[in-house]
Amino acid sequence: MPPVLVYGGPSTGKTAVLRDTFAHMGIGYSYVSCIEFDKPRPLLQAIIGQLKGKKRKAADGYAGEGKAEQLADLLVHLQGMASKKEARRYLILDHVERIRDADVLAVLLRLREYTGLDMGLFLISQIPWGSNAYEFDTLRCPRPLQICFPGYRMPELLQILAKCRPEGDNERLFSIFLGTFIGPMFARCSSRIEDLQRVIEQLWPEYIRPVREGRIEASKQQQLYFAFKDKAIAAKELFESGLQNHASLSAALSARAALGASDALDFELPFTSKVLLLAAYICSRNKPALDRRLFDPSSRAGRRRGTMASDRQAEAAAEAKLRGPHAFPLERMLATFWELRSAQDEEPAGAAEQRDAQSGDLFMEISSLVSMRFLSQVTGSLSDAKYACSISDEVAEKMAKNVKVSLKEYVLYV
Amino acid sequence: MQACTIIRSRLTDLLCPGVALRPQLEAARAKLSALLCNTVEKPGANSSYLLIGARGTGKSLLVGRAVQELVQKYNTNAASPTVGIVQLNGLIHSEERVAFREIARQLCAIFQVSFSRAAAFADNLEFLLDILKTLHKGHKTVVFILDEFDMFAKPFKQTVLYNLLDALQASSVQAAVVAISARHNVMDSMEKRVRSRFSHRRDIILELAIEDFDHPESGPVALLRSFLSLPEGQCTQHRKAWNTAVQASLQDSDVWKALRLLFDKGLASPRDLLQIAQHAVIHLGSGGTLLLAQHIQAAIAAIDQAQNSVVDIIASQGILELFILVAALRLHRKGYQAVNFELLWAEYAKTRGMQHADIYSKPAAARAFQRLLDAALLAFAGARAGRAGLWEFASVVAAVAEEEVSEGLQRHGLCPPLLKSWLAKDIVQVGSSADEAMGGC
Repeated sequence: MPPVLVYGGPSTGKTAVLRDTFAHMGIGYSYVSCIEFDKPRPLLQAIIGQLKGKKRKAADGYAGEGKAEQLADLLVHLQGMASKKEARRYLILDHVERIRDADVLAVLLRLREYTGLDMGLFLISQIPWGSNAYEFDTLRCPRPLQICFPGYRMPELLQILAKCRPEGDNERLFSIFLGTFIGPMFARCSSRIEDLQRVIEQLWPEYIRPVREGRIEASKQQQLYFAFKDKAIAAKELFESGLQNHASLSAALSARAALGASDALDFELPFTSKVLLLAAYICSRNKPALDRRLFDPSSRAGRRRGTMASDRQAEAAAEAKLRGPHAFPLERMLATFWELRSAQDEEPAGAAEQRDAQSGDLFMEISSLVSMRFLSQVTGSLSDAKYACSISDEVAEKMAKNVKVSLKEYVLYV
Repeated sequence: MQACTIIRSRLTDLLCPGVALRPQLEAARAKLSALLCNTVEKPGANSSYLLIGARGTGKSLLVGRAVQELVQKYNTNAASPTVGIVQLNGLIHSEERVAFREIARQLCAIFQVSFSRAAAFADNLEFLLDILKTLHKGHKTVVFILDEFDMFAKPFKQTVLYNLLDALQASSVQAAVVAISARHNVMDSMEKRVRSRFSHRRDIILELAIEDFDHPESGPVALLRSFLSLPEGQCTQHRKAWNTAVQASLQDSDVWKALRLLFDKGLASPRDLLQIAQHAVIHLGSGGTLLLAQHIQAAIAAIDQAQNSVVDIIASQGILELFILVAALRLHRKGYQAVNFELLWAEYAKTRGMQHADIYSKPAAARAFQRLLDAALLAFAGARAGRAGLWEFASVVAAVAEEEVSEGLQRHGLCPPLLKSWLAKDIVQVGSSADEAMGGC
């Protein structure tokens, strides 16, 4: 049979429907997820292991029975299976979009042509075949038959969510709750069932509490609505679909206090490293031409500008901020570092020998910052290497507070 | 229904037995067959042959048929075959170590020699030369079929090709190399020493031409008919009724129009047509008796719909995702080559002034951004862009066209009118449209 691609958004039931269909028809199948095995070699191992169906043993590192180092070996294995005249095997590959630009996919789609093995291949993907994502050489892979799982429309979504109703609770109230709060407020920003389920789990008891406690009768929806509206809006503002969801929602419900992030740095670094990182941060944000104005006292500080010019400058600065950090040469970072140090008045001016003496240590610090992924080398050879700084604004702000540098004075972007 | 089963098994077979080749393929096949027969019969007539053609035009089918014929003609004694077929594929065997081991393995299997898995590259190469000489003494021939030939011609040192073609030069060897490729410039990428050993026999298989649309033998309709109709001698009692039904349904003007449309979109290569035929038979199901126009129409629609799938995916996104996507398109329109999350967020934040119902926090927008990347509606601008540095500033591009998005918005059940006009116009007047959006909430 020709390969089949099943595609559709997350949690639209692709895997579940496929699995239940097989279960219903009473056919066995093998399942391999490309998230677990996203490199060609482990993927092949997994496929062979699944198809051959031997038990994995600790002795051979759970590597399964057949060893497939290369695609060629996989094909040999499969050819061997093809000659055995068994019942047709079915293989489900989940998350195929992960391996979309590997040769493995092209070969798998043509297995029949290459090995003569009549295998039922089902691919599950979030991305449709016709999109640009499979562009690498789409025609190299013959197009599979396609089955689309469309996303849910709002009424369908609410119908599914209605199944989350806790046992014994008022059915009508629950559907009103879904229709007024979950539908328009939360489902518009995330249609993931899991997220919405979590929201319902937390909000529904709050909504129903007045009824349970007997303060408001179940028939008075208006009153219920007004009693709950503020809480829902607060929850919505903090609704971030994802893992943090749990914490923020319960915070919104109980205290509704703003989550005051602490100013303290939650990791420790040597003092020099922190200043170095700040220097890197400044270099990656500011344009090189700005350095002179910032650090050279002899340059004319603050030329007079017209309002138009300063407006334009502010606009350019905002734009540069959005565009993000850029790479900078090492020398520039070191120069900025010494400027920062001397501004802190811990360094007597003009101690060039001392700087030379310390430079060895500094390079050690820099290499350890690189290995900690705070800095990364982006381009260039050893002689003119360019570095990029990968700390976020918040971390930089905390760090600046920690070493008592006022970032506002230095980071001007343009 | 027997006719349906026959057709189905025929269409899923790789060599499509019983389906006549279109004239161009038939001519190339005859030529290749003559060439191979010559190699088998006359010692020293080693040859190499290159077949070029776009994907899905039937190159492999043609070679498969020619080889099948060759095997049937000469391999009369099953215990000791006269012709050995070695099949290699550029996607799999382009590396020399793998290629020569595979050659050795296949030759060992055909001519019943014991194969050593542990043999090194040099051993395998020596074995190849030896066995070719030995086979020549027994008047036996080896045909090497190299599919995806361009992959063999890609490495800097084309050892596989060189060694194979060099072996063919010797008079004490009887072998042929048949290369198949989809790249028209594959000859240019060959090394000089390889090219000089390649005899310049080649054929180009052309795609179906637009002016041949209603050609009685090689037009798409004719191909579909040859896929779907029963040949003589099979299922005689139903054959006539079945063939008439197929003929009638292919004459249907709606089918004709839909096919023409598909053809104009470039979605009607012979392989696509084969897929349409498969689809049609699937739609017929096991209960139906005769193939009707509606089955073929459904099949054509299925192929066509697969091409529109991006719109479906857009239409099933959440509102916030759509806002971010539209923001990306707006920025592209303003001249940004690539955008990042901070830019998208700033663009989205501008809609706050329009007083609509879909204002969400930055983390929520970040998740939406991530989901768009997962759905491949946004794509990282470079290979490195997604890996290094801060994710907020990783540069991405919108991987969809504006028309697709606006069609997706039209199909989306809940899309606020504000969003549509935000996509359509650079400046949106806050007024009636915003009120409507509020009313929807």
